[in-house]
Amino acid sequence: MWFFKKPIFLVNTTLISILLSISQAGFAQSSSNYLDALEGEAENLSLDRKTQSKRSSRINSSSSSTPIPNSISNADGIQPNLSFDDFMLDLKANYFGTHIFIQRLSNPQKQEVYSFYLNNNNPRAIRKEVIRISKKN
Amino acid sequence: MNTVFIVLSLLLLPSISQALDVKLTANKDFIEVVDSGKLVRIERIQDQSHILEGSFSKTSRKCPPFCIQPMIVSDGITTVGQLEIFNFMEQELIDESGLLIDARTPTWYNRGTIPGSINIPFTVFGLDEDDPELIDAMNVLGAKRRDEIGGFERSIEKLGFMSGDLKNDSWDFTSAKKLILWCNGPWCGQSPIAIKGLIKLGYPLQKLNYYRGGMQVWQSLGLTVVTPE
Repeated sequence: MWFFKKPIFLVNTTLISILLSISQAGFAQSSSNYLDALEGEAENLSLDRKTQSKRSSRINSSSSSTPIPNSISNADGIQPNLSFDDFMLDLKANYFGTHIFIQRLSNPQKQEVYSFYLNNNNPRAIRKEVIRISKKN
Repeated sequence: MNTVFIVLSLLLLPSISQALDVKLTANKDFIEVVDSGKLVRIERIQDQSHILEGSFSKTSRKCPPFCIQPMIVSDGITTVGQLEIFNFMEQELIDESGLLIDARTPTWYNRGTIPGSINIPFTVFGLDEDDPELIDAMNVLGAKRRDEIGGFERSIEKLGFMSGDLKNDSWDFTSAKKLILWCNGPWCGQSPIAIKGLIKLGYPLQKLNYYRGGMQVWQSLGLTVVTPE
């Protein structure tokens, strides 16, 4: 036990902690730099015009009971001004993870999320709000 | 009368067959996939003098970060090409046992994507296992987040019973779909990062595939793209 009180041990432990923090911060910074580089490259992106598709008319694909969203990131948002029940159904159909989290909330908390959604239908913002509220429990 | 009939037949024959000169394969002119509820025909540009235009005609981007990727993204992961994608579109996409995933950020996806693809940005697979966005994405892939399971049940699974080889402490991959992930091409790291994230989560290796050619090769072959609505 005497070893752990030795100054050299404490200095080494502190040094390692500092190095770990720097490397984690460095990793986060490099991830952020990569995303910035990606967005920068995408800014003036254009595809060959001759490869643009000619879509046929809409077909009714009823083979799947659960329609797969085209985009998980879905920046367009959940359809606005849904009733509370329809909002919950939409989450269950298209944002299952968020739906699971909401089910764990109390009824007043669910209403709190719903009120948030009425002002902001962005799925990402709603997820963050659900997590914020769930942490109160 | 016979001469008139023969001449008319010869004139009509090309329009009846409408065979393409530049096919997908020797015996496949085009294929059709469903994208956003609409039927899209995937074919190649027929103009044999056409030179590729647009951003994917660039030869060089700064490396890092846009460095050439290895052929094998990770042990056990199959790298596929265009023909495998066409077969996938005609089988797994139709019977919904598979998904074609555009792993790029939404900015890239919204400029144009391979028909039939869904967009799950690579960043999603690096999120915490309890993050709702990851759970949403994994649900689409057919993987279910597990509640706490008993030690006895888990021990049985680890012995190989109850589809234990397709389950870990956090996820049930029993119904996981076959995936082909892609991004911008051999110089793009987005889909390799996504694949490595899925491997870390425990996704069955035999259900993961890497289309290394990505949008770069897709464009260079004059293949159809769609712009998300």
